[in-house]
Amino acid sequence: MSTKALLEYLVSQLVDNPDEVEVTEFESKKQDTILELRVAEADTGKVIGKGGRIAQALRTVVKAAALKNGERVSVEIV
Amino acid sequence: MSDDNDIDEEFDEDTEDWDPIAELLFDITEHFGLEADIEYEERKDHVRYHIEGPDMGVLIGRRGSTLNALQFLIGVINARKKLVDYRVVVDVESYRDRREKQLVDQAKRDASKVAREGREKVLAAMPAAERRVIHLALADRDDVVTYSEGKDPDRCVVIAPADGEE
Repeated sequence: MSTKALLEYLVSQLVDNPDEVEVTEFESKKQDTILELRVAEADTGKVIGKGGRIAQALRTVVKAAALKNGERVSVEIV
Repeated sequence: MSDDNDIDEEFDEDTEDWDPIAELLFDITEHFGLEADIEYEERKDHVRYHIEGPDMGVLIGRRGSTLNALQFLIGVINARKKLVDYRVVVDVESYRDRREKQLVDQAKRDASKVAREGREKVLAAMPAAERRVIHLALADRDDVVTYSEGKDPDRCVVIAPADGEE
């Protein structure tokens, strides 16, 4: 039920190499949570999408889930 | 013959409620901590998945932003994994049905005004799925034409008087 698990789930559905999806969670200075997403190099484009549309949609959905859990979350693709 | 029937029945039993898109949506709502009921309905040119249950507002978001993002992702996943071969529309608590009715009613009023006054009207910016609803709603009218202009997310529908009359 965590926001991190939701991001992992969505991304693993989008990529060719779900085993290489890695989300690291850490706190930023401003008391919000940063979810750092790593995928296989070949999958980078698959989580960003044309014009960043997929990354944007992922952020929108993940932020909605975070809000429900009373968190503030930002997603960084590295 | 009877053997075949037995196999068919068993197969039906196992697969009756299983649908890859419904499963995706169920998994996502579960990650949201929501207890959702998911049903699907065949419409003219798409299959509409209805997500119902308590506290579903979070899945809709401001002016449907979360719902639109969710539908976009489901569409991408479906295209990549080739789960189903029809167009998928996701709805939450009938938000889209209500919004679509509102859009169609307003578009018809706008179209009549455009035809009457002979002046085009630029509607508010809206996502592709909503623009599509307006184009379709006015497609069979011969007194106005519609087109879209601008770039997403500021792209909007324009309703203009039909040319070449009188």
